[in-house]
Amino acid sequence: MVTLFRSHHRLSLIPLYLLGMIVLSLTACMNDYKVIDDMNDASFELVNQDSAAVSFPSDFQGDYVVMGFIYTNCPDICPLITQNLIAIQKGLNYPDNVQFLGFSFDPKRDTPAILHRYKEVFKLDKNFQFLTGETAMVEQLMDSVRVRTQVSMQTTTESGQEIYFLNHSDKIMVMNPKGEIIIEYGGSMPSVPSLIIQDLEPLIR
Amino acid sequence: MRQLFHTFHLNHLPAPNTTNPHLSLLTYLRTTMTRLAKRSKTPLLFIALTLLMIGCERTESSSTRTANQVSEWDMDISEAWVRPTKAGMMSAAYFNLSNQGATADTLVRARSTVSDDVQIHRSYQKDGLMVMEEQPFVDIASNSVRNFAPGGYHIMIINSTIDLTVGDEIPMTLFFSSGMILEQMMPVRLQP
Repeated sequence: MVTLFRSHHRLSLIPLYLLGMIVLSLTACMNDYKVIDDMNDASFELVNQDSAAVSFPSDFQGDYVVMGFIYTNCPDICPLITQNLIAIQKGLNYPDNVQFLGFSFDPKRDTPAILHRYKEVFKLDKNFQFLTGETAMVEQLMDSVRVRTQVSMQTTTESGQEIYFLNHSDKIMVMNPKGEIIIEYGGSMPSVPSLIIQDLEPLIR
Repeated sequence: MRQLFHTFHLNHLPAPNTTNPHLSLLTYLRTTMTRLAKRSKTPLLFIALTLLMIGCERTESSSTRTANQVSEWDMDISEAWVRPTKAGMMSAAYFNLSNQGATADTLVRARSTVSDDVQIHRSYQKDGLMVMEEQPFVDIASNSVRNFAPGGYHIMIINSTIDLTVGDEIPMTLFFSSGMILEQMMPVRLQP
């Protein structure tokens, strides 16, 4: 009885083990990310820091896109987001099939010329662009990616200039080559670069 | 002594100055005691009153902090750095303020020659948004360190008058409620 039980036990474990290995292998190969947003529903006509026209997302189909949301009058959080994007690009060893985008949600002040200067500060390559556009278009885009902004503080400086600051969502997202958002993290978190590098490395090979 | 007080009437004394009560009281006492000493013609009393006045003056000077009394303020700036930017754009300065003194102090203002508008700010998360607010002051408790770091307290440099390039150093002056002023050159870097 004991022998019989043991042999049955061995027989039942083998197929279970094989099935488990197949499932694990398939999961590893698929890298099956849940689609958070499908960006193909709309086309957003924007301009980059060189005033070149950019259609989002169609101009980026076929590449992975890592994107953050910033405004250049933000001296603290937005440079952190930008630097996280830079760290991801560096960590992935500047891949040609991954584009990096910094979307401004303050198009009124962030003109292409300002974005050009902002890009110069960080010494970024051709695969890293900053985008802006008409206010209505940018607002529509921000709605579609659920980036919220609100004017927080309006102040007149000692030199008499009126300035305002924005409260804003803090996000970095990854869009796949089909134009689907598949990854979203807090944009300024220090751990974000390593998480996204880990997520993206197997996908872009 | 009884005779002394009888013969010197309070009406003969100058009235205290009401515009500066602290100083006027000392002047008043000094004048009064000098007159009393002269009238009593007692050298011993004069010496005693003189010693008393020296004591009063010491009390007065210890309540007014001066730059030489560094030990009371034992505040250090460390790990300072400033974000690079272009002229006309924003930057931020970060550092640690270490108060090793026995008394708390409060940062009330910051200045730099690279901007007409330097403010104390704090970033934090609220209701799912990143928020930045100007801070009228920042307390630094005794025997504590206050970190000015990305995503938290920082000194905001509004509309820098010059390009701030990695490798540059810019002057920063911090003003405290105690009257202490700290000045330091801060290096421009992309990160700490």
